[in-house]
Amino acid sequence: MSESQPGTLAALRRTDPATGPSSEDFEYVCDYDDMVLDEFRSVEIGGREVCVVRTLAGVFAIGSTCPHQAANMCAGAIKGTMEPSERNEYRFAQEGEIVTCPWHGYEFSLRTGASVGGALKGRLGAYQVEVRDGAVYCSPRRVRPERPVRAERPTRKAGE
Amino acid sequence: MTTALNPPGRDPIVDCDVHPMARTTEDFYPYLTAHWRRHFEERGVRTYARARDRYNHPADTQRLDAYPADGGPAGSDPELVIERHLDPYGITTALLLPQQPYGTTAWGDIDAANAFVNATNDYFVETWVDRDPRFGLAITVSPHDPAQAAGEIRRHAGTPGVVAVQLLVMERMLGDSWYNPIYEAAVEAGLPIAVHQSGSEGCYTFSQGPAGGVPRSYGERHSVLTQVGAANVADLIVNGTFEAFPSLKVVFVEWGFSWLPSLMNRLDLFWERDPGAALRIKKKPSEYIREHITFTTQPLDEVETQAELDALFSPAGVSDVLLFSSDYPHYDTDDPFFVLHNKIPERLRRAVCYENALGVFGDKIFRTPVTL
Repeated sequence: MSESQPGTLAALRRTDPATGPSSEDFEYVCDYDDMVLDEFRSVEIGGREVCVVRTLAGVFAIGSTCPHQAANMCAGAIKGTMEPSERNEYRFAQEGEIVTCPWHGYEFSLRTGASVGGALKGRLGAYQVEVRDGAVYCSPRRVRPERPVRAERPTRKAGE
Repeated sequence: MTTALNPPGRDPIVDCDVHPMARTTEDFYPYLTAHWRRHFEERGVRTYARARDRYNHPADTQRLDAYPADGGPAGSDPELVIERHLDPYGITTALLLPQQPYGTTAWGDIDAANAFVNATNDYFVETWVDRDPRFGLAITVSPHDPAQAAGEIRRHAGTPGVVAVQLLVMERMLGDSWYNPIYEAAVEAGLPIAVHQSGSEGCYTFSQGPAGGVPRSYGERHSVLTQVGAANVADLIVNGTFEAFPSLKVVFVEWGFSWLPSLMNRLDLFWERDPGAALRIKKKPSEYIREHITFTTQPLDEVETQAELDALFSPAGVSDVLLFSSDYPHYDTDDPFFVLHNKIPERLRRAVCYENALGVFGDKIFRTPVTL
């Protein structure tokens, strides 16, 4: 079952080497087969409510509080998003990787918790999940966001 | 012995914009005469002359957590509204503004519009208002036939839990004397007029659209829809409606208010310079606004800095004319805790939560006692 978790497993492998990729702080959520596609499951992990979901893109865990007006994200909807494109060219992508807030419809990446397109300053927590022996486990540790590729600085010519 | 409506230690909250729905329009049929029932069964009911026909909404227009588990539209189960909205937030009164009558603004059949709208009033009285004292209904009247609308207001003048009149807006602006029979009946019944967008603004020939022309996209329309509210405020004042009906109160629901200081300033300036251009009024336009008109808070402008937030609430006169509203169960809802604690300044909180509402609706806004 775990073979369909490319994003989250990759994220797991990015855990901080100091604390190590430990399974010790992973808590059992439920059996994988009990997860209904695109339906959130509210669980308490490390004393905090976390929304765990299986989508077409994998298994994800996010914090339950929307950074906008604190709606409960476990009532959110799993979607994709329209990516920036040229006029009259619609590009729907990231299906199963986006959650929309149940109230105002703000979109967040399930992988990183970031607000799509930077619409909001705040972000959701995105937690590490693991599918092992047919069961889903979640850690209170966050997925470490990928470092943005640093843009090349234009070299300044002497005298400018 | 009834217990107070508001939880101990918490101020009452009057939420002046909550939208109840019937599960289907057929739920209204038992409240129609046999003739009208047959009519609608054969011909159907079009309840939306709506923006959604012209614009794509960016998301579902309802809060996803407001849909009843057993089906039906968001806001169609009064128990769920109590459980998800009134109880958790300590809402003392929810002003119910039914939306299913909005589509009648595009109907050409005057009698059908009246029959349908009247049936919705009876439906919401019986299924919502009679169920919980925290529900207060704005009965809906259509302006197709003002005499008939006035009759409907008189019919419900003494109905417990009816606290306002939701006047649908068609081609005529609110200062038009066409509405006088409606205003007269409302004043007589001691009910304020509530005006909410019907969603049809700018969507058919004789609807009131935003200034300039018909927007092409949802975002464009949503941003400029406030203009329709502002234009009607000006029209009510300059045409002397409040001189003709000195005790009339009008509540502008969901039209915004951040434009108000500018409008008041411009109206006052015009009147001071040239009172002869508005012969029906006898004092500064802004004074009529403070005495007669209130505005609901949602959707609150989402400003980024404290200075901008201060600017939203600091203009003279604004504190007296604001009523809290959430717009539950719509997707652009304002969360009561979030808005009341993080956005509305402390000094205005009581006024916005319930004091201003008491001024507009009177004691009947609390059907069972509250602790103040």
